[in-house]
Amino acid sequence: MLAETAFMNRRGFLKIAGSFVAASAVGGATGKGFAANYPSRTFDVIVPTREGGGADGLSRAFINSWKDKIGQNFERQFSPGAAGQVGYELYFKQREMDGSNLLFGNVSAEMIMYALQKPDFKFPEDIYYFCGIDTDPCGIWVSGESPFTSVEEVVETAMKRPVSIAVSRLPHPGTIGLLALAEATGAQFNIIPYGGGNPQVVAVLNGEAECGGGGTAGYIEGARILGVFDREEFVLAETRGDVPLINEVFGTDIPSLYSTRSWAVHRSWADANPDDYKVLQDTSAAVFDDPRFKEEIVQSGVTPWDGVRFRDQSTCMELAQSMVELATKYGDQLTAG
Amino acid sequence: MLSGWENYGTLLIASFTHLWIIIPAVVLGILVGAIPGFSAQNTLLILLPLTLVMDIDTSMAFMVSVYCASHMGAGIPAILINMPGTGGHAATCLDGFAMTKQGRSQEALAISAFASVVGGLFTTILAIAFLPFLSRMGLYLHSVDMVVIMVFGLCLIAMIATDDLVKGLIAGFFGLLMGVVGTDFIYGTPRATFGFIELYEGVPLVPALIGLLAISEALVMFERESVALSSEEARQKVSGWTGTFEGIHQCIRQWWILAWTSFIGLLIGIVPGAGASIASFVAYAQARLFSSDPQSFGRGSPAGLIAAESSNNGVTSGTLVPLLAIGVPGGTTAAVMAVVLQYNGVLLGPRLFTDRPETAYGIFFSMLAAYIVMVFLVLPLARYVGTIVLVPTRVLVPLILSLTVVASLANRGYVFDIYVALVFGVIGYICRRTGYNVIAVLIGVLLGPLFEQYLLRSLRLGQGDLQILFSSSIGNTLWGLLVLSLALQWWKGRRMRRALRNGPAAKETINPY
Repeated sequence: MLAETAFMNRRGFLKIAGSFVAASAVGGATGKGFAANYPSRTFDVIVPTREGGGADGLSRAFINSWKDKIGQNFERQFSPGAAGQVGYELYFKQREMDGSNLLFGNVSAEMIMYALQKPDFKFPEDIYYFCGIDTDPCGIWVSGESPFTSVEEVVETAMKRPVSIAVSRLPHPGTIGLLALAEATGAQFNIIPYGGGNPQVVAVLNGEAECGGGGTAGYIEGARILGVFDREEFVLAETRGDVPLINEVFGTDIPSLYSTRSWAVHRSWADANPDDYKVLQDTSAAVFDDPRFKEEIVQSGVTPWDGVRFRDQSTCMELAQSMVELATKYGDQLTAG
Repeated sequence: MLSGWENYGTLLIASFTHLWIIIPAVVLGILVGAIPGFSAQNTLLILLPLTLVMDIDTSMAFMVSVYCASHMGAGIPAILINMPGTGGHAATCLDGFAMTKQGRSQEALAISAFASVVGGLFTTILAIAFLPFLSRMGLYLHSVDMVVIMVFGLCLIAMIATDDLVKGLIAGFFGLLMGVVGTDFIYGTPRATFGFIELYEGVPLVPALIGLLAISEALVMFERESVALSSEEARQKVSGWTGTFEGIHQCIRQWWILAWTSFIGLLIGIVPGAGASIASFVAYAQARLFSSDPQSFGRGSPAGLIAAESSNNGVTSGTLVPLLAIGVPGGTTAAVMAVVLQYNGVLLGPRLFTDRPETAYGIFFSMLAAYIVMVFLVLPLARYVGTIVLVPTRVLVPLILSLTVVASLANRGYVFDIYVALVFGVIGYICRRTGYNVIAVLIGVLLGPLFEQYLLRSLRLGQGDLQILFSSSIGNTLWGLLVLSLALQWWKGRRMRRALRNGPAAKETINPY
């Protein structure tokens, strides 16, 4: 439950005041009238994770190029909580469906959240993910001092005794990969959620957990990636080195599991305003060709550049759908129920 | 790695070349710290576009100055109107506001400023001197060890509830119960949220603290003329500089508590995620334990205030250690600093100390410079700010209540949080009027979620086996120290009760909290 009037900030006030002024100025102009000028105001973006994380850095770098192409600035609000549920519910319940309210989320992790926690919106009816930015392949990694030298050794040990694996949170594609691997090989993984990437990293580095599971894009000095859940190739091979594909090592058929941060918008607005929606899609896709974007990503190190690739609406929605299905399949192991 | 006094000296001088940015940053930090609900983190986020365009050394000097100064500034409302702006300053209220009520606000503010500065300076010097060792320290402490540290903090419930143990424990457990509201740490299952998504992250800390302490206190204040119990006596105490000098004298006299508790802050700050809340309560409990006059704690004890303030400033140096050494921010403000460092292409981790020692150590030297600036900026203010106790409650209480609304809203922007503050205000008022210990509730709310998080994680690691809690040598040593602390507390209490039975002060058993 999120009361309709529960959120009222400076921007909210200005928005209402601005609407009155604008309405008087155009003398009762209809929605069509505004459409021609889209986008007519600053974009408000909800980021359902904490500031200072990967989504923060990635969205900032993207916005710095996108704002020039679309002609409007972006104002972000970070609303973390409940694996993204807080931010999503805020977006669907308290943000106008006018194309100026966007969401920047992690498609894979948050669609797992959708399947498990059943928040108050409908997928795919309510949302379009229209511009995926990065690829963070999920895998298994260890600290530089770990006795494990290969993913075979991890599984071999896990067949004799449970091996502890730190993950940032249970609703994550990396966790699904571990569950699928355990199912296929009979390995016993003791999966421990640490409530965020930072504590997860510390747990692996200090030896509290034997391995780490999840994204491999974040740079951790001295860590070794033992294997990735990718069917075709390790997309970060250029920066992270050659890493075996888990399916090839064990002859399994686990789907490619990766995280992708993507821009999203209210679907009803996009369907009702196809021309405006196209503006969003085209200008966001153009950011990938902007050398400034590359420069900023490389400089900030927020994600390896070889993992940055454009995913259009259909690819993003496909990924989202597959995550919902996988989460439903492994639902019992990912929830207390 | 940086070595040699010459290099240290060069960096210290270099940090003073940033005075032009450090001075306004300190002023800004004190201001935002003094506004309950605002924080260094919010401020740095707002100013991020500015810091991103500065050169990295200037921007880090700016950020650490805002960060340190905001920690000090947050002590001001905690002392003057019982309103902690952050969890780390809840312990400041215990003795700080008690001193204000005695008309010793100027002395309390001077203690807060001096203990913060000296504690901060001391831990910053320690951090510079032992950085390589301290950076490993954060990696030595596991979840199991953190469980024991949390128990250290939670034991304060039993310590402060000695006058009416049953009511104290009921209050403590009520607080712990409030602390479990929100989604659980393993599966994310909502508990006692009643469908309110605003409660998924748990009971919002700042509104709960503001309600329990400030609103309930404001309601009590309605019943008297001024904050200070004797306004005439207070008028005498806030005029002149006596209070400021007395505060400084108290800090110097109790230098050992100042050093020891700031060191506790540094150590706890190094552990990512632990933070000032636990540090200040553990430090407070330790200061009380080893005090020759534990009964004065909560009744305006300078030692209690010193412990709370020096420890939460010790945390500021500590949180930067894991950020620089392993690339993991120790707190939310450090996370914002990480953004700026990464944006400037600074590679965090062990190589930072070999590749860019001037940046790694320069951050701590800037912190050192900021603390030195604070001495001259803040101490003289104590005399003037302290006069707030002379404002009649008919004026002050509406102001406090208005401020609580702003403070509750400021942190997350949810109107819902104002209602949370009001509900906790009523709970606090009822507690005060019925003899239930407000601070025990507060400790439960503050430390309960952290305790649960580390406990559940440990149990998950041990696959449900309780023996995991006794599986680490550091943890076992801490358990031993905990038992010793409790035994010492019991023995001292017994001795004091015996002395009181035979002495004239036997009747004085009013619960100060």
